[in-house]
Parts: sequence; structure tokens; C-alpha cells
Amino acid sequence: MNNLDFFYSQTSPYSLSKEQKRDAIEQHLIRLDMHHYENCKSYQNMADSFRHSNWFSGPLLMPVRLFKQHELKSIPQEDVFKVLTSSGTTSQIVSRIILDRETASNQSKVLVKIMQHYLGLQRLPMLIIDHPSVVKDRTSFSARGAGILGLATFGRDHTYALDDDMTINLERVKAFSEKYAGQPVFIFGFTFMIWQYFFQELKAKNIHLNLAEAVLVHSGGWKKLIDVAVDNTVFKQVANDTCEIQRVHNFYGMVEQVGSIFVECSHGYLHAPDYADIDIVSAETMKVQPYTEKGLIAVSSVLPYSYPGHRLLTEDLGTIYGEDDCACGLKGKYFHVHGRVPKAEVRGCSDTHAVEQKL
Amino acid sequence: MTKPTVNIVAPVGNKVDLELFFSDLSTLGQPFSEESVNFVDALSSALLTNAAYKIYPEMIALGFWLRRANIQRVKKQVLVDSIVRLPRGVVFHVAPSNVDTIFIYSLIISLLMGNKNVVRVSGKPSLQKDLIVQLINELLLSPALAATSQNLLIITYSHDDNTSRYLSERVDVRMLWGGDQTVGYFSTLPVRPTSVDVKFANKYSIAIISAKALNNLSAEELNHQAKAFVNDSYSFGQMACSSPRSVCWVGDTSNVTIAKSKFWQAVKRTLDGFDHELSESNYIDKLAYVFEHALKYRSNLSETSENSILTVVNVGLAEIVDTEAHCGSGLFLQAEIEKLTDINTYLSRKIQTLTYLGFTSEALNDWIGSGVYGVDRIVPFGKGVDFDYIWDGVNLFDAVSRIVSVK
Repeated sequence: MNNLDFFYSQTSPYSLSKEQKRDAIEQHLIRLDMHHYENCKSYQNMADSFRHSNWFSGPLLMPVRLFKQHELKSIPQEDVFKVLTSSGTTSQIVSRIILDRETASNQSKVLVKIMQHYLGLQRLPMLIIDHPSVVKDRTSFSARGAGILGLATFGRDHTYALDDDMTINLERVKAFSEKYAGQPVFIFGFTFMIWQYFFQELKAKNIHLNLAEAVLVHSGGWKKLIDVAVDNTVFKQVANDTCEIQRVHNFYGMVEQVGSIFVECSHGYLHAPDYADIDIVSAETMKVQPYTEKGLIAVSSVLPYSYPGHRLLTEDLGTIYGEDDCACGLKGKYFHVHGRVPKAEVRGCSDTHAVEQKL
Repeated sequence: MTKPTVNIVAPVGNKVDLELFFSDLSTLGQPFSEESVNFVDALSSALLTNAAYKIYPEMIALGFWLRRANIQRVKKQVLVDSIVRLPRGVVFHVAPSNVDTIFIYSLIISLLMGNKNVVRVSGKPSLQKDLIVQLINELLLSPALAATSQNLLIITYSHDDNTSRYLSERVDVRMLWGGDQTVGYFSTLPVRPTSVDVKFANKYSIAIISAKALNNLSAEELNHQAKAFVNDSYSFGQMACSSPRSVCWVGDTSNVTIAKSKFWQAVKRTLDGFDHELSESNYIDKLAYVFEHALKYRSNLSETSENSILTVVNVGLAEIVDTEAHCGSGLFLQAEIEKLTDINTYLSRKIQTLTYLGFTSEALNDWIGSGVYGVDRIVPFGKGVDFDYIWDGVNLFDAVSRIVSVK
């Protein structure tokens, strides 16, 4: 049993002040520490290994890639309800996340709480910046497909902006913007797709859409965009230039902690909701860094009960700027993500890693 | 078969007919010819005097090994009156992509033996490789090194079967550096019935320490040994085949407990000022390794591990060797044994170097004769990454020469 009533009873997912949150979330995470220790043999072995070392100053943070290498679960086999899988962009190895009914239901519930904060209680007409077949084959879901389906529940009249060959379907897009002119709509897609196949196409074709009442939500890595020198500011500017979109919310999340996502506020910072927390850790010392220092992002969430994913060390770099005092007014730590840790140069006598280099 | 296109990086400027390069054996030299020794000496002088190389310890080590005095010493050991040695012919060196100086040792030994040489270097950018190739090109401009220039070809080519096959079919020796994968790949290509392959597989190295001897060291000696150990293991990010990745403590438990604590403290002090070049991504790899090892084997992270630079994991003796997953970057698997022979079962042919502290050569000689299947070199702390022409149990001069019996 993972009782989240205290969190659900708050008026918004960004209500808890840092004192309240410290008490509530830390107690809850300690209960999860014990639950996973007692119910996941692999987690127990790992926690035991760190018992006598001082590598971590605080609680154990599990490297997120462990889910790519091992199936970790803290529930009996008969309680397994579904398995989430996701492949990273750089590797073909898939993370496998084991869910029971309760964890899956909490994930949806928390996602609803967070998204409704930005979208309102009504389901809005939804424009999806992707092609429809990405969600058609329900047996082999890509992370993209799963993400779209997850968010699709917040919209109605789902309209796909792209055709199967990733070209923009102007007829559909124009019909959508005309039909809902002057009304709030919900636009969702992956950051790079929106940039490449939507904004860039509109610009190239010199087409201007009026989606001034839209809320654009997007996620996925910035890596490809940083390569072409597009950051969040440029992204938002172009959203405004091409479609008059005023409200853009990026979010940071991962398959290992579905539900408790970190959404960008009106002032351009990602925010930790009541259900989750974030710390910045120095890779060299594995100690928690003070605010404004750059380092590895560690994320914790009160949701993971069926698998030991409640305290994770990611391979992303970020900076926390403060807690509870963001100009947007929301409580919680607020931060930026700077992308993945750069790959180290491969050294040594063996060419094991050289295959991909191709002379 | 279509003639392959290769990119010749040295010697520059000359138009080279590949077909002719392989068929014309009139340029083969005599072992340790004056010109080849002069070339090696010029290379050594340049490496040791030019400031551009000073920042690369492996380039300086290379420069030292190539010194005239050392080459003369080696020559005495290789050329003995009782046998006649001749070059084998054309030697194809497949250089590893990650250690930039190894192909030079391989090439020089073969050149000194009088062979013709074609070296495949990795096309991936490397400052050290570019510097040394540029240096070789400058030296080869000298008319006094015309013969050397004719016997040397450094190339890159895209990893295509056609070119690898073409080269493999035309050479007398293939020196296959680069580990299991490269060796495995080239082993599938046909070679001449008379040719020889020298294969350098992935290897794993271990440090062995006598706890009693360590406990008897003075503070100064201990620091010296710790420095030597750090040099052996943290050069090349602990990814060279000869970098110790495990530490085997020999002695009784009470001695070992004290020795471990003294030793790792000394290693930490050394690391404080050491330019280890490890990065965030190395630290993450290492952390993930420790988790995974614990998950699989119930190993324990040692209390010594306080940050990401030095990571020591207590493992059972059966897990002392991990040739598959060990990620280097300052990760040591440690186990205890009472006497050296206790580790014999675990020393497979994958084990290359044992760096030792506190054993006499008599003790080591006695032990190595007691049924050890693997192990290529046993060297004191500090000599781990030194190059030797006997490598992985093979005398490289033997590999690139043939002995002609005249009776």
C-alpha cells in the first residue's frame, strides 16, 4: 500500500512549502526505502553494498540505467499489471518498469493533477504534432507513442498535424486552427518534432497560424536542438512568431518516474511538484550541491512502489535556482536541465567501443 | 578483386602504387641497419626535446624507449651470433584506436628488423597520433632515410572488408592490436599459408600485495609505492591491458586489515595531486558498475570509497577477475588470500600483468612454476605500463623475423 492521500488532499500540486514538503516527502521516501529493501532482493543487495562506504552523503541514489540492465520489482509476480518499456534515444537497450495496479493508477492520477494545473479541468481540443500511426500499433509502443497516449486523455477531437512520412498536413492543421479560432486548445508533441516538422515547415512555407489561446506542452531531449543552437528562448520565440502561441510548457520526465513530471512554469523554470523532488549531485563526490551549482540531476518521487525507482540518479545535468521563491508563485524547487553528461573519450588497448566510430 | 582505396597519411607527398609496395621486396633491409637505427634515434631526440610532446607522458616514455642506448641494449639481446635473423617481409600492423603510441613500438621493432610495413591507424581524431605522424613525415623528408621511407606506409581506410581482405592476402605478418573484437574480425579473413598472425587479445591485470611487507614499509617507502600504483592504474584511465584492475592481498587477516587501510590512505593522498583525467561520465559508469556488481554478487563497497575517484569493492576470490564489465576509471576489486597459490585457479590466459609489492623474485619464480595457466608479465609497482618488446608472452622481434639455419 502506498498511501498518497496527504498529497492528493492538497489544493494544487505545488502547495507544500519547503518545511511541509521536507517532512512529508522525506518520511514517505523513507517508507519506500524500507518497502523496497524488504521486497526487492536486488535492491537489498545494492543497499547493503553501500552500507559501510561514504560515497553518498544522504540516502542511496540508484543510477537510472540499472532499469535497462535488470528487471527490478518490489511486488509479487502475480501483482504485475503491466510493464512500461522505453528506449533511450542513444541506446537500443530498453528500460523495463514493472507496475502493479496501484502504482499505475497513482501515476495517472498524479499526471492528471499536474496537467490540470496548466490545462484546466475541461478537456481541450488537441493538436498532436506527430503522425497518427505512432500510436496505432498498441502491442509495440514506442516511448513516443506511450507519451502521446498518456497526454491524449487531456484532450478531445485529437488532430494529428503530420502525415506518416512526417510531412505537415496543412489542410488538417488549418482546419483545426480555424475551427477553434479564439478558443483554448491543447497542443502536444516532442520538442524536436515540433521544431523540425512543424515550426520549421510553417516558416519555410511562410504560413502563419493563429493559435493565440493555445497551451503548448512539449518534452523530449534538447540535444538535437542544441546542436542547431536552438534553446528554450528561441523555441518560444518561434512558437510565437509562427503560431502566436503565448503559453509554452516544456516538461522533464522519464519512464522510470512516470507521473510526477517537472513542468516549466510561466517564468521558464521547471518545477518540482509536491509528489517529487530534485537535487543536484556532484559526480565527483556524489554529494548534494548547493543551489546554483551545476551537476547531475537526482530525482525522487513518492509514486514508485512496485519497483525501486523512488530515488534515482539520472545522467542529465542541471542547476537548481531556489525553492518556493520562483517569481511564478508556485512552491517547490525550480531548475533548468542542461542536457546529458558528455561521453568520455574511450581509452585503453581494446577496440571494444570502436565499432561505432567507423574510421 | 578491386584495388582498395586507402588514405596514406605517411609518408606524405609520394605517390604509392599499392600493388608494387607489396610485390617489390628488394627494399627489405638488414636487421638493425644503420639507417633504421638512425631513424629511431632521430624520432627519440625529437620526442624528448620538442616541448609539444612534454604534456603527454606516454610520448615521453616512447622517446625514452627509442633512445640509441636502449636500442643498442635491445640489439644485443636480439642479435646473437649463434643464429641468423632476417626480416619476414611485409608486416601489417592494425593499431588499436585508443592507445595512440602502441603502433609506434610495433612499427619500430619491425622496421629495425628490416621489414616493409603498412600500419592501419584509426581515422578518429587524436592529437597525439597526428603529432607523431607529422613528426615521422618530417623525418622522412631527409634523403638519408630514403630506404625507411620506402618501407613504411601509414594508412587509414573506412572499415571495409574489401581493403582488410586485400591487405591480409598480401602480407607475411599481421600484428593485430585492438583486442578480441579486432582479432576476431581479422581472423575471419584469408591469409597466405606462410604468414603469421600475432594476436593481442583483451587482457586483464592484477596487483598483488604482501600485507606483511607493506606493513613494514617506512612512511616514505609507502608513499613511493602508492605513487607507483597510481601511475600504473590511472594512466590511460585504467583501461590499458596492463593497468591493475583488481588488488589481491596476500597474508593473514590481521596483517591484511592493517595493510589495506594504510595502503588506500596513501593512494588517496597521491590521488589528491594526480591529474587523472576522469570525467563525469566515467564516474557514472563506475557507480552503475558498483550497483550492478552488488546486485549480482552481493559485493560490498569498501569504506575506503569516499568519492568517485577511488572506488574499491570487496569481492569474493571467485569474482576477482572481471574481464567482461570492468569499466576502469579507478575501480578496484579486492580480495584476500593467505598464500599466492590460492589465486592460481583464477589466473586464466586473459591475465596479462601482475604488478607486485613485497615479494622477492625467488618467491615469484617458485610460485609461477606451481601451476599458473595465465599471466604474461610480473613486474614491480611502477612498471605496469612500461613497454617491453616481450608483450603478452610474445617476443615481438621474433614475431617479425625468421631464423635461418645455416649449417
